[in-house]
Amino acid sequence: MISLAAVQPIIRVGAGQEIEGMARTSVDKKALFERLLENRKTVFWICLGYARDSVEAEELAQEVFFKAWSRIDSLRTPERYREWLFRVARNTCLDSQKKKRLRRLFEAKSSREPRDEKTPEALVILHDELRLLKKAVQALPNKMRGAFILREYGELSYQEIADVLGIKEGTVMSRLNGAREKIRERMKGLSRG
Amino acid sequence: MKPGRSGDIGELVRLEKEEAGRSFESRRFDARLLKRIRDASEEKAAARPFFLRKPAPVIALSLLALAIAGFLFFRKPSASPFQQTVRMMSAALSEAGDGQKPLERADVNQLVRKAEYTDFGWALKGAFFACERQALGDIDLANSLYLIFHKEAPKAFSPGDRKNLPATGVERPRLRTDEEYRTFFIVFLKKLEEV
Repeated sequence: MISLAAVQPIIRVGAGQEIEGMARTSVDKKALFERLLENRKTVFWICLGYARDSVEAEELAQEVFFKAWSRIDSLRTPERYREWLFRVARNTCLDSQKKKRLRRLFEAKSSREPRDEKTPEALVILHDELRLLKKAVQALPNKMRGAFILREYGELSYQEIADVLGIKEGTVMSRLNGAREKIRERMKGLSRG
Repeated sequence: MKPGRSGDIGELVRLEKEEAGRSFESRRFDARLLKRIRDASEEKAAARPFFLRKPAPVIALSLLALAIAGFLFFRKPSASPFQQTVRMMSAALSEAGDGQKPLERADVNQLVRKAEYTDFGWALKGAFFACERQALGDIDLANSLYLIFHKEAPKAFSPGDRKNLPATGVERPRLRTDEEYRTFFIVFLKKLEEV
Protein backbone atom coordinates (compact mmCIF):
# COMPACT_ATOMS: atom_id res chain seq x y z
CA MET A 1 0.00 0.00 0.00
CA ILE A 2 1.45 3.33 -0.98
CA SER A 3 1.15 5.90 1.71
CA LEU A 4 1.79 9.37 0.49
CA ALA A 5 1.52 12.20 2.91
CA ALA A 6 1.56 15.74 1.68
CA VAL A 7 4.02 16.80 4.32
CA GLN A 8 6.53 14.07 3.62
CA PRO A 9 9.65 15.13 1.79
CA ILE A 10 9.56 11.97 -0.26
CA ILE A 11 6.94 9.44 -1.16
CA ARG A 12 7.20 6.38 0.99
CA VAL A 13 5.97 3.10 -0.32
CA GLY A 14 5.37 -0.08 1.62
CA ALA A 15 8.17 -0.87 4.04
CA GLY A 16 10.34 2.21 3.82
CA GLN A 17 10.52 2.31 0.07
CA GLU A 18 10.36 5.68 -1.58
CA ILE A 19 9.81 7.08 -5.01
CA GLU A 20 13.08 8.82 -5.66
CA GLY A 21 11.83 10.61 -8.72
CA MET A 22 9.17 12.26 -6.68
CA ALA A 23 11.57 13.45 -4.02
CA ARG A 24 12.45 16.41 -6.18
CA THR A 25 8.89 17.39 -6.93
CA SER A 26 6.82 19.71 -4.85
CA VAL A 27 4.78 18.59 -1.88
CA ASP A 28 1.58 19.45 -3.74
CA LYS A 29 2.44 17.12 -6.56
CA LYS A 30 3.19 14.31 -4.20
CA ALA A 31 -0.09 14.82 -2.45
CA LEU A 32 -1.82 14.86 -5.78
CA PHE A 33 -0.19 11.64 -6.88
CA GLU A 34 -1.25 10.09 -3.61
CA ARG A 35 -4.81 11.04 -4.36
CA LEU A 36 -4.50 9.65 -7.86
CA LEU A 37 -3.26 6.37 -6.45
CA GLU A 38 -6.29 6.09 -4.22
CA ASN A 39 -8.20 5.41 -7.41
CA ARG A 40 -6.03 2.47 -8.45
CA LYS A 41 -8.88 -0.01 -8.12
CA THR A 42 -11.28 2.09 -10.18
CA VAL A 43 -8.63 2.48 -12.86
CA PHE A 44 -8.05 -1.26 -12.76
CA TRP A 45 -11.80 -1.86 -13.26
CA ILE A 46 -11.93 0.53 -16.18
CA CYS A 47 -8.94 -1.20 -17.73
CA LEU A 48 -10.65 -4.52 -17.16
CA GLY A 49 -13.55 -3.31 -19.26
CA TYR A 50 -11.20 -2.73 -22.16
CA ALA A 51 -8.84 -5.64 -21.55
CA ARG A 52 -9.25 -9.31 -22.29
CA ASP A 53 -8.51 -10.38 -18.74
CA SER A 54 -7.27 -9.24 -15.38
CA VAL A 55 -3.60 -9.70 -16.27
CA GLU A 56 -3.88 -7.35 -19.20
CA ALA A 57 -6.00 -4.99 -17.11
CA GLU A 58 -3.28 -4.76 -14.49
CA GLU A 59 -0.66 -4.04 -17.12
CA LEU A 60 -2.83 -1.28 -18.50
CA ALA A 61 -3.43 0.14 -15.03
CA GLN A 62 0.33 0.20 -14.46
CA GLU A 63 0.74 2.09 -17.69
CA VAL A 64 -1.97 4.52 -16.69
CA PHE A 65 -0.32 5.40 -13.40
CA PHE A 66 3.10 5.61 -14.93
CA LYS A 67 1.75 8.06 -17.48
CA ALA A 68 -0.04 9.97 -14.74
CA TRP A 69 3.20 10.23 -12.80
CA SER A 70 5.11 11.38 -15.86
CA ARG A 71 2.52 13.91 -16.90
CA ILE A 72 1.32 15.17 -13.57
CA ASP A 73 2.64 18.63 -14.46
CA SER A 74 0.13 18.86 -17.28
CA LEU A 75 -2.78 18.63 -14.83
CA ARG A 76 -4.01 22.21 -14.89
CA THR A 77 -6.95 21.84 -12.52
CA PRO A 78 -5.86 19.62 -9.62
CA GLU A 79 -9.33 19.54 -8.12
CA ARG A 80 -10.50 17.64 -11.19
CA TYR A 81 -7.80 15.00 -10.85
CA ARG A 82 -10.24 12.09 -11.03
CA GLU A 83 -11.65 13.21 -14.32
CA TRP A 84 -8.10 13.66 -15.64
CA LEU A 85 -6.97 10.25 -14.39
CA PHE A 86 -9.92 8.43 -15.92
CA ARG A 87 -9.34 10.22 -19.20
CA VAL A 88 -5.71 9.07 -19.13
CA ALA A 89 -6.97 5.55 -18.38
CA ARG A 90 -9.44 5.56 -21.25
CA ASN A 91 -6.92 6.94 -23.71
CA THR A 92 -4.27 4.46 -22.61
CA CYS A 93 -6.68 1.56 -23.10
CA LEU A 94 -7.79 2.82 -26.51
CA ASP A 95 -4.17 3.29 -27.59
CA SER A 96 -3.31 -0.18 -26.44
CA GLN A 97 -6.20 -1.63 -28.42
CA LYS A 98 -5.13 0.22 -31.53
CA LYS A 99 -1.62 -1.18 -31.16
CA LYS A 100 -3.02 -4.66 -30.63
CA ARG A 101 -5.15 -4.36 -33.74
CA LEU A 102 -2.14 -3.24 -35.76
CA ARG A 103 -0.07 -6.08 -34.37
CA ARG A 104 -2.76 -8.55 -35.33
CA LEU A 105 -2.90 -7.11 -38.81
CA PHE A 106 0.85 -7.40 -39.14
CA GLU A 107 0.87 -10.94 -37.80
CA ALA A 108 -1.93 -11.89 -40.15
CA LYS A 109 0.01 -10.53 -43.09
CA SER A 110 3.42 -11.85 -42.11
CA SER A 111 2.32 -15.38 -41.31
CA ARG A 112 -0.13 -17.16 -43.50
CA GLU A 113 -0.99 -19.69 -40.85
CA PRO A 114 -4.51 -19.36 -39.51
CA ARG A 115 -4.62 -17.65 -36.16
CA ASP A 116 -5.81 -19.66 -33.21
CA GLU A 117 -8.75 -17.84 -31.69
CA LYS A 118 -8.46 -19.77 -28.48
CA THR A 119 -5.74 -17.85 -26.69
CA PRO A 120 -4.60 -19.01 -23.27
CA GLU A 121 -6.06 -15.86 -21.79
CA ALA A 122 -9.49 -16.74 -23.11
CA LEU A 123 -9.29 -20.08 -21.38
CA VAL A 124 -8.81 -18.33 -18.06
CA ILE A 125 -12.32 -16.96 -18.24
CA LEU A 126 -14.41 -19.46 -16.42
CA HIS A 127 -17.95 -18.56 -17.20
CA ASP A 128 -19.44 -18.63 -20.66
CA GLU A 129 -21.57 -15.66 -19.84
CA LEU A 130 -18.59 -13.63 -18.92
CA ARG A 131 -16.88 -14.58 -22.13
CA LEU A 132 -19.94 -13.60 -24.09
CA LEU A 133 -20.24 -10.36 -22.19
CA LYS A 134 -16.62 -9.58 -22.93
CA LYS A 135 -17.13 -10.17 -26.61
CA ALA A 136 -20.28 -8.11 -26.64
CA VAL A 137 -18.59 -5.21 -24.87
CA GLN A 138 -15.63 -5.34 -27.22
CA ALA A 139 -17.98 -5.24 -30.17
CA LEU A 140 -19.68 -2.06 -29.00
CA PRO A 141 -19.06 1.15 -30.92
CA ASN A 142 -16.33 3.21 -29.24
CA LYS A 143 -18.59 5.92 -27.89
CA MET A 144 -21.03 3.49 -26.30
CA ARG A 145 -18.25 1.32 -24.99
CA GLY A 146 -16.60 4.26 -23.25
CA ALA A 147 -19.79 5.23 -21.45
CA PHE A 148 -20.62 1.62 -20.59
CA ILE A 149 -17.19 0.77 -19.18
CA LEU A 150 -16.93 3.93 -17.13
CA ARG A 151 -20.39 3.28 -15.68
CA GLU A 152 -20.44 -0.47 -15.16
CA TYR A 153 -16.77 -1.16 -14.52
CA GLY A 154 -15.57 2.16 -13.15
CA GLU A 155 -18.83 2.85 -11.31
CA LEU A 156 -18.61 6.51 -12.17
CA SER A 157 -21.61 8.79 -11.81
CA TYR A 158 -23.34 10.12 -14.91
CA GLN A 159 -21.85 13.51 -14.23
CA GLU A 160 -18.33 12.09 -13.95
CA ILE A 161 -18.74 10.14 -17.17
CA ALA A 162 -20.02 13.27 -18.88
CA ASP A 163 -16.93 15.14 -17.67
CA VAL A 164 -14.50 12.45 -18.76
CA LEU A 165 -16.04 12.05 -22.18
CA GLY A 166 -16.80 15.72 -22.61
CA ILE A 167 -20.49 15.16 -23.32
CA LYS A 168 -23.81 15.96 -21.65
CA GLU A 169 -25.37 13.79 -18.98
CA GLY A 170 -28.35 13.10 -21.21
CA THR A 171 -26.03 11.81 -23.91
CA VAL A 172 -24.35 9.56 -21.35
CA MET A 173 -27.69 8.03 -20.46
CA SER A 174 -28.72 7.46 -24.04
CA ARG A 175 -25.33 5.90 -24.83
CA LEU A 176 -25.65 3.63 -21.83
CA ASN A 177 -29.11 2.50 -22.85
CA GLY A 178 -27.93 1.88 -26.37
CA ALA A 179 -24.91 -0.03 -25.11
CA ARG A 180 -26.97 -2.28 -22.83
CA GLU A 181 -29.41 -3.03 -25.60
CA LYS A 182 -26.65 -3.89 -28.04
CA ILE A 183 -24.91 -6.09 -25.48
CA ARG A 184 -28.12 -8.01 -24.80
CA GLU A 185 -28.74 -8.52 -28.50
CA ARG A 186 -25.18 -9.55 -29.13
CA MET A 187 -25.11 -11.97 -26.23
CA LYS A 188 -28.36 -13.53 -27.38
CA GLY A 189 -26.94 -13.99 -30.82
CA LEU A 190 -23.68 -15.40 -29.52
CA SER A 191 -25.35 -17.84 -27.12
CA ARG A 192 -27.57 -19.13 -29.94
CA GLY A 193 -24.67 -19.44 -32.32
CA MET B 1 -27.19 -17.12 -15.58
CA LYS B 2 -28.37 -16.91 -19.12
CA PRO B 3 -27.75 -13.63 -20.82
CA GLY B 4 -30.77 -12.01 -22.19
CA ARG B 5 -33.02 -13.97 -19.90
CA SER B 6 -32.12 -12.35 -16.63
CA GLY B 7 -30.85 -9.39 -18.58
CA ASP B 8 -28.68 -8.36 -15.69
CA ILE B 9 -25.59 -7.13 -17.39
CA GLY B 10 -24.58 -5.29 -14.26
CA GLU B 11 -24.53 -8.55 -12.36
CA LEU B 12 -22.30 -10.15 -14.97
CA VAL B 13 -19.91 -7.23 -14.79
CA ARG B 14 -19.89 -7.55 -11.02
CA LEU B 15 -18.97 -11.23 -11.35
CA GLU B 16 -16.19 -10.45 -13.75
CA LYS B 17 -14.84 -7.78 -11.45
CA GLU B 18 -15.08 -10.09 -8.50
CA GLU B 19 -13.05 -12.72 -10.25
CA ALA B 20 -10.49 -10.27 -11.57
CA GLY B 21 -10.30 -8.56 -8.18
CA ARG B 22 -9.04 -11.77 -6.60
CA SER B 23 -5.86 -11.55 -8.56
CA PHE B 24 -5.39 -7.84 -8.00
CA GLU B 25 -3.24 -6.98 -5.03
CA SER B 26 -2.77 -3.35 -4.24
CA ARG B 27 0.56 -3.99 -2.54
CA ARG B 28 2.02 -5.84 -5.47
CA PHE B 29 0.59 -3.26 -7.84
CA ASP B 30 2.20 -0.43 -5.90
CA ALA B 31 5.52 -2.23 -5.66
CA ARG B 32 5.62 -2.73 -9.42
CA LEU B 33 4.67 0.84 -10.05
CA LEU B 34 7.29 2.04 -7.63
CA LYS B 35 9.97 -0.04 -9.32
CA ARG B 36 9.02 1.30 -12.71
CA ILE B 37 9.03 4.90 -11.53
CA ARG B 38 12.33 4.41 -9.75
CA ASP B 39 13.92 2.82 -12.80
CA ALA B 40 12.68 5.64 -14.98
CA SER B 41 14.00 8.23 -12.52
CA GLU B 42 17.40 6.57 -12.37
CA GLU B 43 17.53 6.34 -16.12
CA LYS B 44 16.69 9.99 -16.39
CA ALA B 45 19.28 10.98 -13.81
CA ALA B 46 21.94 8.82 -15.44
CA ALA B 47 21.26 10.18 -18.86
CA ARG B 48 24.01 12.66 -19.65
CA PRO B 49 23.22 15.75 -21.65
CA PHE B 50 23.23 15.27 -25.38
CA PHE B 51 26.32 17.39 -25.91
CA LEU B 52 28.30 15.16 -23.59
CA ARG B 53 27.09 11.95 -25.17
CA LYS B 54 27.56 13.06 -28.77
CA PRO B 55 30.24 15.76 -28.84
CA ALA B 56 31.18 15.44 -32.53
CA PRO B 57 27.83 16.36 -34.09
CA VAL B 58 27.29 19.08 -31.52
CA ILE B 59 30.68 20.65 -32.29
CA ALA B 60 30.00 20.40 -36.02
CA LEU B 61 26.61 22.02 -35.59
CA SER B 62 28.07 24.76 -33.41
CA LEU B 63 30.73 25.55 -35.99
CA LEU B 64 28.13 25.62 -38.72
CA ALA B 65 25.95 27.96 -36.66
CA LEU B 66 28.97 30.16 -35.98
CA ALA B 67 29.84 30.30 -39.67
CA ILE B 68 26.28 31.23 -40.57
CA ALA B 69 26.19 33.88 -37.86
CA GLY B 70 29.50 35.29 -39.07
CA PHE B 71 28.34 35.34 -42.64
CA LEU B 72 25.14 37.13 -41.69
CA PHE B 73 27.01 39.60 -39.52
CA PHE B 74 29.73 40.52 -41.97
CA ARG B 75 27.93 40.20 -45.26
CA LYS B 76 27.48 43.30 -47.29
CA PRO B 77 23.92 44.45 -47.63
CA SER B 78 22.46 43.84 -51.05
CA ALA B 79 22.75 46.79 -53.33
CA SER B 80 19.77 49.03 -53.85
CA PRO B 81 18.87 50.10 -57.40
CA PHE B 82 20.59 53.39 -56.60
CA GLN B 83 23.81 51.67 -55.54
CA GLN B 84 23.70 49.46 -58.59
CA THR B 85 23.51 52.54 -60.77
CA VAL B 86 26.45 54.04 -58.93
CA ARG B 87 28.48 50.90 -59.48
CA MET B 88 27.61 50.85 -63.14
CA MET B 89 28.69 54.42 -63.43
CA SER B 90 31.83 53.79 -61.46
CA ALA B 91 32.73 50.94 -63.76
CA ALA B 92 32.14 53.11 -66.79
CA LEU B 93 34.32 55.86 -65.34
CA SER B 94 37.09 53.47 -64.43
CA GLU B 95 37.17 52.05 -67.89
CA ALA B 96 36.88 55.42 -69.61
CA GLY B 97 39.35 57.14 -67.28
CA ASP B 98 42.94 58.10 -67.87
CA GLY B 99 44.43 54.81 -66.81
CA GLN B 100 45.08 55.99 -63.29
CA LYS B 101 41.73 54.66 -62.17
CA PRO B 102 40.48 57.99 -60.95
CA LEU B 103 37.49 56.45 -59.28
CA GLU B 104 37.86 53.04 -57.76
CA ARG B 105 34.72 50.97 -57.69
CA ALA B 106 35.36 49.98 -54.10
CA ASP B 107 35.69 53.63 -53.14
CA VAL B 108 32.36 54.42 -54.69
CA ASN B 109 30.68 51.54 -52.97
CA GLN B 110 32.19 52.55 -49.69
CA LEU B 111 31.12 56.15 -50.11
CA VAL B 112 27.64 55.32 -51.19
CA ARG B 113 27.20 52.85 -48.34
CA LYS B 114 28.02 55.59 -45.92
CA ALA B 115 25.71 57.92 -47.82
CA GLU B 116 28.46 60.49 -48.08
CA TYR B 117 27.04 62.04 -51.17
CA THR B 118 29.24 65.09 -51.03
CA ASP B 119 32.41 63.01 -50.96
CA PHE B 120 31.09 60.95 -53.79
CA GLY B 121 30.42 64.13 -55.65
CA TRP B 122 34.04 65.09 -55.07
CA ALA B 123 35.16 61.75 -56.38
CA LEU B 124 33.11 62.32 -59.48
CA LYS B 125 34.72 65.67 -59.91
CA GLY B 126 38.08 63.97 -59.69
CA ALA B 127 37.06 61.59 -62.42
CA PHE B 128 35.78 64.51 -64.44
CA PHE B 129 39.12 66.34 -64.22
CA ALA B 130 41.04 63.18 -64.98
CA CYS B 131 38.90 62.72 -68.06
CA GLU B 132 39.55 66.28 -69.08
CA ARG B 133 43.30 65.76 -68.85
CA GLN B 134 43.20 62.59 -70.83
CA ALA B 135 42.55 62.50 -74.52
CA LEU B 136 39.71 60.09 -74.94
CA GLY B 137 39.54 59.93 -78.65
CA ASP B 138 36.05 60.01 -80.01
CA ILE B 139 34.41 59.81 -76.64
CA ASP B 140 33.94 63.23 -75.15
CA LEU B 141 33.20 62.02 -71.70
CA ALA B 142 34.47 65.16 -70.08
CA ASN B 143 32.08 67.25 -72.09
CA SER B 144 29.24 64.95 -71.21
CA LEU B 145 29.99 65.30 -67.56
CA TYR B 146 30.33 69.00 -67.95
CA LEU B 147 26.92 69.21 -69.55
CA ILE B 148 25.47 67.29 -66.71
CA PHE B 149 27.07 69.39 -64.03
CA HIS B 150 26.33 72.65 -65.87
CA LYS B 151 29.17 74.13 -63.99
CA GLU B 152 32.55 75.57 -64.75
CA ALA B 153 35.23 73.53 -63.08
CA PRO B 154 38.89 74.37 -62.58
CA LYS B 155 41.30 72.64 -64.88
CA ALA B 156 43.64 69.75 -64.12
CA PHE B 157 42.66 68.20 -60.90
CA SER B 158 43.71 64.77 -59.96
CA PRO B 159 41.63 62.73 -57.47
CA GLY B 160 44.43 62.95 -54.93
CA ASP B 161 44.39 66.72 -55.02
CA ARG B 162 40.82 67.21 -54.03
CA LYS B 163 41.70 67.49 -50.34
CA ASN B 164 43.89 70.46 -51.13
CA LEU B 165 41.17 72.28 -53.01
CA PRO B 166 40.19 75.67 -51.64
CA ALA B 167 36.74 75.65 -50.17
CA THR B 168 35.36 78.02 -52.77
CA GLY B 169 37.48 76.87 -55.67
CA VAL B 170 35.23 74.11 -56.94
CA GLU B 171 31.51 73.90 -57.39
CA ARG B 172 30.17 70.82 -55.78
CA PRO B 173 27.56 68.90 -57.64
CA ARG B 174 24.15 69.70 -56.32
CA LEU B 175 23.37 66.16 -55.50
CA ARG B 176 22.10 65.65 -52.01
CA THR B 177 19.31 63.16 -52.14
CA ASP B 178 18.85 59.74 -53.65
CA GLU B 179 16.35 61.17 -56.05
CA GLU B 180 18.82 63.79 -57.30
CA TYR B 181 21.49 61.18 -57.73
CA ARG B 182 19.16 58.84 -59.51
CA THR B 183 18.18 61.54 -61.96
CA PHE B 184 21.78 62.48 -62.37
CA PHE B 185 22.88 58.95 -63.18
CA ILE B 186 20.08 58.42 -65.62
CA VAL B 187 21.06 61.54 -67.48
CA PHE B 188 24.71 60.65 -67.21
CA LEU B 189 24.25 57.19 -68.64
CA LYS B 190 22.10 58.59 -71.40
CA LYS B 191 24.77 61.08 -72.27
CA LEU B 192 27.39 58.39 -72.12
CA GLU B 193 25.40 56.38 -74.64
CA GLU B 194 25.09 59.40 -76.87
CA VAL B 195 28.82 60.09 -76.95
